[in-house]
Amino acid sequence: MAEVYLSALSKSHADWLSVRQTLISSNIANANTPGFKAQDVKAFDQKNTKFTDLLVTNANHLQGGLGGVDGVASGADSAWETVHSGGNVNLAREAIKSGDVATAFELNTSVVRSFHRMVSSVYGG
Amino acid sequence: MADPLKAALAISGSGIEAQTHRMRIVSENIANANSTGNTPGSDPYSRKTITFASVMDRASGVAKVQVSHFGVDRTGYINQYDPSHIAADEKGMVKMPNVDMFMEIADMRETVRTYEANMQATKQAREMISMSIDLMRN
Repeated sequence: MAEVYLSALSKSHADWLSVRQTLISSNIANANTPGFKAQDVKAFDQKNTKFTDLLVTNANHLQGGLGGVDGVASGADSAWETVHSGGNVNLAREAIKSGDVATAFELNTSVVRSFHRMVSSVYGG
Repeated sequence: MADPLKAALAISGSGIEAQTHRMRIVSENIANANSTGNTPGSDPYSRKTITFASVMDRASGVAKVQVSHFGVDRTGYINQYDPSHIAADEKGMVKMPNVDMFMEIADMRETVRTYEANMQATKQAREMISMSIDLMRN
């Protein structure tokens, strides 16, 4: 049986959820931008989160995307509607995704909290 | 590494700001729906338009939104017969602005809807941040 590194797993899941929330915000902000295509991250996979950010030696260096979460996919395949101006952001879909993110993030933090309680009970804390 | 949730707040902020500009244009159009010229045959107020563009924020590597262009609607003016009007030409026709009230109201509704969606996204990101902070509470 493979070991489960719970803290590392919950950290990468929280990272993934944060990036997803950022893309949802970006989609909503650009809901009326002509030609803007909605974006989403690839489904969460424990092996999917790579932490391969380049080292920053100068403040002017461009950062490699959002915190090393791999695969920003455009949501073109799941387009609900394409409006006259060419954008395909649907506010209802973004709201649903945002709700999913909230539920998952809440679950994630409760798991971390109870795991932390388990650890501190060992130390009699 | 930029904090994605902070980036989310900044993006929603840019969206909210863009929608306030749009609201301003809608109010301008509605307020000037009856603004004519004041010499015979002169042009009235022209309906204004607004377009958005997504911009890449280099610090966080995400797509924010900004107002790309304030434009003028080039569709024809509405001619109305009103010989006593100051802007009436020799046939008694007055050029009225090309503002369509229904279109402005629809635009306003869409503005409010998008503004609300941006607000929800802000609220959500803030809740996620405070959920993480709450982990440090006992």
